[in-house]
Amino acid sequence: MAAAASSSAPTTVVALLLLLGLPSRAFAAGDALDDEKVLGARPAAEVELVQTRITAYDQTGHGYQSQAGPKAGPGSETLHVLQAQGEFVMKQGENLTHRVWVPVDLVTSASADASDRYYAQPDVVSHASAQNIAAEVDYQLGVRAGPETTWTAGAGMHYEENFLSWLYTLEYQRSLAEDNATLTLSAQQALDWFDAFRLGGSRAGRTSRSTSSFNVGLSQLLSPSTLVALAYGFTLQRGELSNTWNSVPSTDGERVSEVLPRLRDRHAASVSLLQWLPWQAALELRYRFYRDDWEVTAHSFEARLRQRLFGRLVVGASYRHHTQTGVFCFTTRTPLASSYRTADSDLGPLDADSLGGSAEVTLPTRRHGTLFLTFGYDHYVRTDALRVNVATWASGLRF
Amino acid sequence: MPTFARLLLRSLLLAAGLGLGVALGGCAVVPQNRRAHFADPLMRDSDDALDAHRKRKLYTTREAAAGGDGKRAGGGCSCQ
Repeated sequence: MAAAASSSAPTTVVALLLLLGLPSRAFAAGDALDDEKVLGARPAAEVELVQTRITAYDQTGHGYQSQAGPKAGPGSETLHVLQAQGEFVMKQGENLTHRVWVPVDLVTSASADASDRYYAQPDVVSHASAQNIAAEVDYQLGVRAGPETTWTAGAGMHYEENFLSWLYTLEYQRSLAEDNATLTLSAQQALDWFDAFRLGGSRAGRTSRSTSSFNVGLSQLLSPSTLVALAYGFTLQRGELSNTWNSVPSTDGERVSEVLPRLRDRHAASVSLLQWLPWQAALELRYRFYRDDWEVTAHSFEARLRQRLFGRLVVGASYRHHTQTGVFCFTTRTPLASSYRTADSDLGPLDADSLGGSAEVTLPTRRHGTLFLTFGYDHYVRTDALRVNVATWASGLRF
Repeated sequence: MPTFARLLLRSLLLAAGLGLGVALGGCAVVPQNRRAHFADPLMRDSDDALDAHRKRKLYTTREAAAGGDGKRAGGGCSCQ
């Protein structure tokens, strides 16, 4: 027995080693069977999103800055905008994301007229009849610098009739505490170069404006169904901060040009809460506080509810209330000796309410990702009787 | 208030906010296997970029309170 036992000991040891070794060999083989071998080689570049969106704005109202009305009274602010946007997002390898975005606005407005740039005076005096086209191209590159860190850099250019803009952005994003929180720091710079107008409509050379923005944001998971986000932003503007064609009724019954300070610093802080609701819905609440050195204080509150129906249909409803004080120099009848003055209704004291609805259908395809179709409508109304109806339609593919 | 004092006060407020944010970010309260709801498209914490742009255009060109939302203020329409 003892001899048999002693002769079987090496066999047992070999068997044990084999048993111990096989799983390790299997794991080693498993290591070799990485995603690439199982799923095939990952393409060098993959499209993540292609979409287009058309939005129509239909605005009616009156403001004292507009000359499309009585000399001492408010003029028309009637405006129609047809806005087309296209977006293309592509992932290159594991760490690079490219995004190209092109918005184009077709505008009828009471502002300067593009069509008579060289041959006639701009349409700043008569009526809201001009047609302008504004276009922009933006490119952003996102670089995943580590498992928790992403850098994004972007540049863009905006063109519309008398107006050129160059835009730059840099963003740093870092996830914290096992992805429970995300910290975002960003900076943006816009340089605007545009024609200045005299009150009668003739051009007075070129002028410029600089806008620098710095922002910090933090989102934090509070529970398996709750997310809270905090944000603060500082914006510094320098240069010609009027559009130069706005006018102000004066105490002598005439109109004079709007004059605004050449410096403005703005602060805004917001808090938002996103809550999952157990009946396949999500509720978002947001409050934003704003203050600047032109004595504007504003509060905005927004609520949004999204509800999934029948699996592939998501309907949404939103409400927003905004209230603001006017800038220190807002007036509808200015003394001629005033240093600063504006009658721009956007810069006056006002309350605004916006009510909207949306519907989105998603349809998975066999080979081309998920097709989505979205329709939305918003009605915006201010206490000074300005009203805007907005209809928007989007379609695209998410891969 | 002198400009320097105002700048200092703002910087301190910003630093305090950042500190609070980082402190909050240090709390790992939801393990990864309990985050299924956050993967649902309903729980996007913002609109898609094009929808956000058209909403921003609606508000920032008709109100005096643009900026400070992590997006650029200015550029494009010179109505502000």
